[in-house]
Amino acid sequence: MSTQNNPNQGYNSTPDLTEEEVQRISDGFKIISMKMKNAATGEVLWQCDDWNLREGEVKDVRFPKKILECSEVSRELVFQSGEEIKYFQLLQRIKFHGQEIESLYFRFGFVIPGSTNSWDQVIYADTEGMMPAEVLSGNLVVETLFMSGDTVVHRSFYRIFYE
Amino acid sequence: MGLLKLLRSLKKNEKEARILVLGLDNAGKTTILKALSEEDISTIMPTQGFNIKALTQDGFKLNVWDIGGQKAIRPYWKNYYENTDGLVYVVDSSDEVRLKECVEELQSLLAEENLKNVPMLVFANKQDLQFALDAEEIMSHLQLMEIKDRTWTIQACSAVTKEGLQEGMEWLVKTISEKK
Repeated sequence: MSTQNNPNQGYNSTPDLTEEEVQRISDGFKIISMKMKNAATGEVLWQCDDWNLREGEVKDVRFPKKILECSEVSRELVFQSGEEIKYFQLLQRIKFHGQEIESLYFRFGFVIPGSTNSWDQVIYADTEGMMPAEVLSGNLVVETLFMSGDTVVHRSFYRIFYE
Repeated sequence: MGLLKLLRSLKKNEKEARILVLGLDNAGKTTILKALSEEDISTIMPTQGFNIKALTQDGFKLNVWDIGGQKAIRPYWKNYYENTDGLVYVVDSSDEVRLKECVEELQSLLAEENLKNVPMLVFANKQDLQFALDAEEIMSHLQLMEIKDRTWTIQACSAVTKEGLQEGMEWLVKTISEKK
């Protein structure tokens, strides 16, 4: 079985990048868009084509409540990189009232210089009951770290509202 | 149901497989992926990097990697071979002019150490077009009968009508699960 996306098997040690290299990767990196889709039907539920967050900025996003009713939600992230990145990985932390409740890891590996790339991740619903939108809305913050090996090249935050 | 539980279920220990989709530019790799996930296929641009899609098929969670097929991008394909459980090679069956190029790229893929023994599905795509070669003709051009070191199949398909897509993916997942 493929274990490449097991967070316990992330890159153990990757060559250190110089400050200049990190800066170049960071400058050339840009998230283009984010889309939330009903994975069962392909229907786009929410979309943002202007997702250029500055370092440390917290963006407010307003998802339709019906996103919580989908049994499978597909999230598509499109990003550009000017530079080649050898050990590209993503770590996402979801915080509820400031407390980390979940984290997500994905290893991309190699990123082609001058590339535009998309990543779709499907999130499945459990059959058990869940917190209502009113409780979650405004209290969920998603922190996304894009890394080259252990070095963070892009960090962004978004706060989720349901309406 | 809501986000907390949605997110929790990401950690379920599912059977996973990494699928690599390659082929010349304009073969229809991205369109096939979008068609498989029921997305709109009317505005697809040439891929300038990779597209990763998560699909589920017969209890398998598939991470499908579609890498751009333009000539300038092909030298980077080798960065994506490692840990591949299944290879999908997409052919534009209507592009007779570039069949030779298509064969050459396939030959060099099959010689790759990191793709050794990896099961391969060949999609003879664009069967909806009037002058498309059929799967048998594509098979003979690609000299598939000479492949002895891996399990392979060829499936006629059309990403536009979705004909053949499901059959191909079912074969691939079945073959991967038998191998694992």
